[in-house]
Amino acid sequence: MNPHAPSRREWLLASGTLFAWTYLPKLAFAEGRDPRFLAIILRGALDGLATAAPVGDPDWIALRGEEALTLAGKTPALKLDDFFALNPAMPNLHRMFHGGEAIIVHACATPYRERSHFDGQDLLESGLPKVGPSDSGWLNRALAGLESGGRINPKGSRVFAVGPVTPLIARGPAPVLSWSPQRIMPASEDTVARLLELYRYSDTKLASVRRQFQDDHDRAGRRYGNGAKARPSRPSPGARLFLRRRRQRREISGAA
Amino acid sequence: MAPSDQAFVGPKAAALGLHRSGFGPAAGQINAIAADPRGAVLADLDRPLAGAFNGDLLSSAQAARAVFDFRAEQRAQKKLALRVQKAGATSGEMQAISNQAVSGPPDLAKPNNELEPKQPPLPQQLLLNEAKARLDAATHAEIGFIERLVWFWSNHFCISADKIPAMAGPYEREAIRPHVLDRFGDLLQSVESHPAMLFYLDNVESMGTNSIAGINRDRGLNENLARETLELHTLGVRSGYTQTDVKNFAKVLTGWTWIPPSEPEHGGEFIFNKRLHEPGPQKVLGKSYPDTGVDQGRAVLADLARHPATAQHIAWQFASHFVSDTPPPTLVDKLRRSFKDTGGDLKEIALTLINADESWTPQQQKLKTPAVWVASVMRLTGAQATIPIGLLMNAQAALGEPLWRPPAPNGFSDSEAAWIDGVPRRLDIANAFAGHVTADPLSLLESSVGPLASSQTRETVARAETRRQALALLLMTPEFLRS
Repeated sequence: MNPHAPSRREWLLASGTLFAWTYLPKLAFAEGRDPRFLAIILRGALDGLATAAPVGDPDWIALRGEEALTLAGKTPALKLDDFFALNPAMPNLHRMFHGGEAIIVHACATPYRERSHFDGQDLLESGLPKVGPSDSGWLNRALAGLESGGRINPKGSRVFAVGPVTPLIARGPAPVLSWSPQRIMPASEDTVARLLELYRYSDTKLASVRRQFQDDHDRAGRRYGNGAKARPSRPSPGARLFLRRRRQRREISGAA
Repeated sequence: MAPSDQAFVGPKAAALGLHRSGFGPAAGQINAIAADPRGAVLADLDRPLAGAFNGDLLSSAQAARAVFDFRAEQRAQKKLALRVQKAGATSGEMQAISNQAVSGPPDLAKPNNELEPKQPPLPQQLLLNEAKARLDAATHAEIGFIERLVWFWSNHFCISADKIPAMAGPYEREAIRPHVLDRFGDLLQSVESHPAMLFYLDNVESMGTNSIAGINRDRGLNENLARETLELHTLGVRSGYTQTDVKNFAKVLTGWTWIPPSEPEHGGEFIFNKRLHEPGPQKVLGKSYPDTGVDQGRAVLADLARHPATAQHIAWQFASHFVSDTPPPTLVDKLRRSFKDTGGDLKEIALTLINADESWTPQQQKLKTPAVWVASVMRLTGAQATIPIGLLMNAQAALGEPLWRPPAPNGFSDSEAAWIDGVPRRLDIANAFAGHVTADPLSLLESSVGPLASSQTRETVARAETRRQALALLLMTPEFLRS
């Protein structure tokens, strides 16, 4: 594990979207099991075909071109079944898949095709067929539905949300237990990168505090005791793409 | 239409006016005042002040007495506990006695609904109440120009809550607020005779060496109040007063003190104590002032208010606070002349400021101080409904501007150089605040900086990964950080 990377728990906490749904079905409890359901929403863009590639499709390489994952080559994709192979950067998921601990559901999406990130994410969490205000999310509604079946311990099972505002996915009729850290967590590196990029273009004086952003995060890392050493300021792949495309557009338009 | 006319009406001018003379727009406000932004800001000067404050807040004297009583009780309880311990009580009884002690920090693992905040001790509770009232006034004000004036003068005539926590809020309400549109001389008299200021600058300990008390106790002058009044409050540094002037002025001010808060009926109130007063006439800035008791000091203050150096000092600070760290000399001059010609009428110089073309420059040159920025965020998002006032005060303090706790009598700076290094920390706080807001970031962008927003700003907010990130970035855009 790279000691320079933030720990997973710390990253999840900082993102504020960690939540857990706990229930104690009597049968499982009696058997000595304590199953947990953990849902993680990863925000940003993921190219499904670069994750689980349809290497068994005869047209795959022709349609995809140079970037196509293959079972051959220097870094071969990891075989999932006769048709699909996993991106070689995901050996853990590969192991879990073959151990019967993971399934992959490919090419699924909400019906949303517009351009607002926020509306799209809301739809993912609300579970509704179209965009619109919602005061509940599908997970909470599922819990409320299951609860009435008598299989859930109503006292023990609640949706547990982390963050001052319960994420939409966990909001609704079923009671929510929420917790937020008492300290101010540092903003993510991705957010910092986006902000610095904005300053670079529109406010040179504010851009001059670039170094303080780095120092501040180093200090925050030590202060919050997450054990991470000085983190290099690396924007997320999504942010990098966004920033690169913007630079390209500016170069083309001849803007300063 | 001349180009210069266009700069003062329309949505852009409205947005500038609201950020520069207030705490930024509330939702929908830019359009509401776009037809006449100047008029809208000026209308604030005709509204009654202090309407936002309810009757639950204590006067400064009441607060001083209440805190004194509280501390006396605490001391007594500790002593009682020691007595019991000495008498060999069981640990159970001791536990019962020490129940009143302040408990440790809350267990972080406990969920929110169990973390009912324990009532803080009285001095802190009073401070929180005052802070909340002040923030509410700023966020609910129509424009907020009056509130900005209160904040400006309160910082100009600052005291520190470190020294005198219970009186900080009442001082601002009693000595500053009622006079921000009066004559400067009235404001000056009110401030320099307020017990909070007298205690803060140690004038309560000052006595004339030839006064009755000075002779009996072998003690003498404390020059702090005199010096800071000359250097910070009126003339400004290096404006022609000498050390002798400071000393003589200090003599004039001896006797300006308070009734100690231990006195149950009038503790904490101003009193002129003749026994402390240095007898005889004093010469200050070339003029001799006969010993007329408390009026000797009032006469000096009146002359200081009228001094041309004061007009220049205040004019520069005013322009620098609202418009630019390097204000245009033409603007400073307009303000100075307004001050001088009207005998220091503070409403007039506020009018002059808003009427001046220089105040409507399209470049946002100022960096909002942490306190103004936090208030702007709250005004825009309404998040103070869900964030406890204590956390907001902590946020402000984390950014280096703890409420009513300036590090020195010259108050908090309002220049960019002082605050720019704290900008990264503002992002973390913006991110934390953003977690409390569910409104749409793009409509908040329109409400707050719409007419001012660059295309880069719009893109940055629109392309954020999450609503929360979008909101945090919005609050950190140059258009929102600046005024």
